[in-house]
Amino acid sequence: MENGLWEVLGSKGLLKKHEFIRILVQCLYSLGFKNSASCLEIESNISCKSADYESLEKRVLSGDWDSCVAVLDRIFDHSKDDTRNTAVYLVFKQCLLEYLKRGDVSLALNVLRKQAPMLRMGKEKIHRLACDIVYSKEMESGEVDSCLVQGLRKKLLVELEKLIPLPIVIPKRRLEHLVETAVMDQIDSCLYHNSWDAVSLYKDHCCGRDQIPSETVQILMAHKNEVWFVQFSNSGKYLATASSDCTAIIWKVLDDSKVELKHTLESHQNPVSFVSWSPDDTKLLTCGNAEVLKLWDVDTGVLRHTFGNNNTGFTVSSCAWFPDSTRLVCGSSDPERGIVMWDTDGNEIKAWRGTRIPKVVDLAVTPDGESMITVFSDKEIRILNLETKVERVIPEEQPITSLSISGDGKFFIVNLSCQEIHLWDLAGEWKLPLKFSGHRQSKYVIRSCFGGLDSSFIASGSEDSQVYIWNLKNAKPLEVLSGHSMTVNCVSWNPKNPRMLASASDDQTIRIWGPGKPNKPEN
Amino acid sequence: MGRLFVIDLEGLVYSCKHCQTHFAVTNDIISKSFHCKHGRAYLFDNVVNVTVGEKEHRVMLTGWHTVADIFCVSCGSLVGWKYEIAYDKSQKYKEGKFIIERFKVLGPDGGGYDMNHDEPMTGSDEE
Repeated sequence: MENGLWEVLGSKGLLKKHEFIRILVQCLYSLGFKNSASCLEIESNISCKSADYESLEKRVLSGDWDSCVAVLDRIFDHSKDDTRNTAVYLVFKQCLLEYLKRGDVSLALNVLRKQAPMLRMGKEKIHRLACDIVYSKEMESGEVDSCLVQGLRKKLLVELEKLIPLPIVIPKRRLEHLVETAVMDQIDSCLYHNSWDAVSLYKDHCCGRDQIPSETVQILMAHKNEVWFVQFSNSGKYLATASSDCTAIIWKVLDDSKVELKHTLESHQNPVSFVSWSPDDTKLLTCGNAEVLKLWDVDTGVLRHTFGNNNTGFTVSSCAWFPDSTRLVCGSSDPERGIVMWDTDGNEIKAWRGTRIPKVVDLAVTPDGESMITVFSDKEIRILNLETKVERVIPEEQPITSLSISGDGKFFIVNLSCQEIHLWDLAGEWKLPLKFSGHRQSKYVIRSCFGGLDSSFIASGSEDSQVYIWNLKNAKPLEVLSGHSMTVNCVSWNPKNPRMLASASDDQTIRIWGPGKPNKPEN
Repeated sequence: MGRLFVIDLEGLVYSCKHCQTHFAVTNDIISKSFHCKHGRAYLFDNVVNVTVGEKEHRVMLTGWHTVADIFCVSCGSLVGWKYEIAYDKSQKYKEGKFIIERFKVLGPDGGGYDMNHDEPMTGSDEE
């Protein structure tokens, strides 16, 4: 047939024309265009269903079991391998079921005695087959209903389809699947990709810098000294900042993403270097490396509690909440003070103390409350499972200055004073971390965070006054944001708005960053 | 934590005279026989919490070297210098190592140092 059906398509000649047309037909049928589909079948002389399959389908739906098996044998090329046997077994099962439901017990027995041996099944398998049927759900309902029987036959057909080899049967929605695979590959290599909207099929997908925060949209000036810490609340509706002016400030994020001051929290006598939002965002903890831990009410801005004995002034470098928003844990910057778990009323629940506990540089609790990660000043990361009490130690070679957990709690990053950011998995399957570099860090504590869609980005502060953004796929920065005039100490990506980023700097300001201008002009 | 990242050392520590920031441990001393204009100086294998300044060429008693001054990361006081390059083969062992002037630090017992009460200098000299 000089139809060129054995031609190849595509610039590299990798696609078979007749296969291409067949999946087109399948696609038209699955979209509901029956007329167009059968027109195409006629015009191209390629049908969606192969001849063998049509034959099988006819026999199954009419209950012609013997011919069914014959067709199956033909399909499987008369081999007696396991797939063929499973297929024939299913046919027999249906056949017996129907006979028994009709009350044709003798016919059923006949089948079992004579036909079953064809399947090469041992006696016990035959017994099991009989048991399977007798006890099956379908046997319970009494009526012999032709609708029910047709339904069962259609189900059998679906089961058989799973066993029949290509190309007699092709997977459902094959064309859709192929296109989606291509699109997913494009998304995979798209470094700026930051939203789950559907992509256009008209051109190869590639996002530009308008997808991630890269331009300053607002500068917040309220602190009277260096701003050391910034973090969005879990809901993304508030922002908290901490400064060496000994205050912390709670800001509100308005609907248009503008930020305005809500409360200034004054009580600390020393610089505040760390804050932590309770999981329900109703409470805020503040502390500093030479300063005690304080608990505030977010709504009113009122100080609820100061932790630790007022005489001894238990200084806390870092703290974290448990998912119930009532229990919290903090690590001390005094050596030997250790790690203490409190409840919001100030009662001590548990403590890890002792002379062997060095100064706590940073700590965090996973969102599910199961594990606590601690960074001690001796370059070790310790992950303690609070249920099983099992501890895992990850040794780093250089001093670690800060720690940050991803939103899903599966990964964490640490900033090292050798100017690298290391990404580790919490499950402990990785032998080596993923490393990111490009920023500047040598003297100061610089913090980084996860952000964007599915935490696929990392942002970090830097001693060269810029904000650095990486896509997790690349060790080198994707974007470098300029604007601050002094060291950027800390960054926070809004967990509910993948296009909003905040940065805190020694220049006493906080900058809010938003989507940039696209890098190519629109067509 | 808290802006300036300061590393704490364990054991017998030499620390800054002005702000007690830790610099090095006695285990890392390679030689105690070095000298500077303020008296004794020690050669250390490893030093922390210092910032390294600009590289310069200097003539020492033992010849030409490229060195960089080191400063306390907390208070900024000059603490000593780092040997970057030694141009004499016999002096190569000093490359990458640090000199801390004894006058600028507190010893492991917290004691200072006074050049005038020191013993007369003998042995391998420097600077």
